[in-house]
Amino acid sequence: MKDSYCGMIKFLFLLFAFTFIYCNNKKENDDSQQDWSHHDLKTQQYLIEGKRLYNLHCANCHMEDGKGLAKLIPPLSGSDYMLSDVDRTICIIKQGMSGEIMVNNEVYNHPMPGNTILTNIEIAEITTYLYNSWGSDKGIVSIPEVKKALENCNELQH
Amino acid sequence: MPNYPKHFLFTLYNTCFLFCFLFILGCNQEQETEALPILGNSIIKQGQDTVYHKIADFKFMDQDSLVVTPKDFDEKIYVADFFFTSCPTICPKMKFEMLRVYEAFKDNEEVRILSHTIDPVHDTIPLLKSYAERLGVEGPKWRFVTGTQDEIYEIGQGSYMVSTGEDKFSPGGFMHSGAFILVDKDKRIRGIYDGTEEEQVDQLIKDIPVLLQEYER
Repeated sequence: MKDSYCGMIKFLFLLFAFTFIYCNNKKENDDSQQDWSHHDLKTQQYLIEGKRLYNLHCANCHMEDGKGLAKLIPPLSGSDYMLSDVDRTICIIKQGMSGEIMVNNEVYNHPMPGNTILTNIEIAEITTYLYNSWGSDKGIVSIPEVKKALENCNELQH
Repeated sequence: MPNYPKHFLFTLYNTCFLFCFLFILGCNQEQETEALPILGNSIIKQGQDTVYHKIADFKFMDQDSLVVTPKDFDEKIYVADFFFTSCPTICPKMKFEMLRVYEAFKDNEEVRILSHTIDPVHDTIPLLKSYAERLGVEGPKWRFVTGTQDEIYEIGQGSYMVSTGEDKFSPGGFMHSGAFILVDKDKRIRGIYDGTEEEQVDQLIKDIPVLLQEYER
């Protein structure tokens, strides 16, 4: 008799504990951060700083999850337009852009302001973050790459 | 039924009671029916009704080139905000949050949204129309209005109690608050929420039905 009594108490306690833990965890939205641990230290540093800079300068419009805003502001996450041309992305970050573009089969036409105050290393960090998040894994974008891209911005195709 | 010891039944009974009690407590928390406050400077005169702060008269034009006045909000409650289309900072976030309000009350005829541009020079009617279309929203549910700069700043500061104005040191050239202002059927302000804060917009979405209920008596 005493065994089943203890068993009943243990069961009720576990039930209560589970409910308590479940309720407490329900509201915590775990933002699943992509795993960067396979990158070298320098790349990881770029990624962490890049994320910080992205949230400061870019997330206002493109949102923290990179999904943009309706048909007004294009997504970066999974964006065919962005993923197909790193140099163009670098130029856009620095200079902004305007005019009609096609992203994932949607037309967008809303001007983006430039970020002329950003230094080459900051652009390298942001770009590294963009190309190693939301499912992409392209590795580091270096400062010489950024410098070279910025020298050739006027020759780019939109 | 087997003969369980007395103290076992006692514990079981108490645990069930505890669960029921917690359950009822949890249920009740969702039924807040406290009325919303009336905000703004009110004039209280002895022996007379209190005169509450109200939104002043206005005449603007929306994205469909329709004239918009307070009459268009008779028998309706609405959420107002101030923005400009080329805003590089808080506006997209505000629009994202306002979209949630729009979707939540899409089928409710009594709820409207009124966005004022604080850059009427750049934000022409065709531009506002294109902006609204790209956001995926339409009037008269959500109206984007323009007028003269003076009129808009005046109603922003005087009526809606939010700060707006040209400011060459602000990104985009305009300083403005990201506030969402909830206005009732008598043109009184019943709530001011930070439109860039998800939790405050959650609260706004909860407060709107509470406000609507006031008119169901």
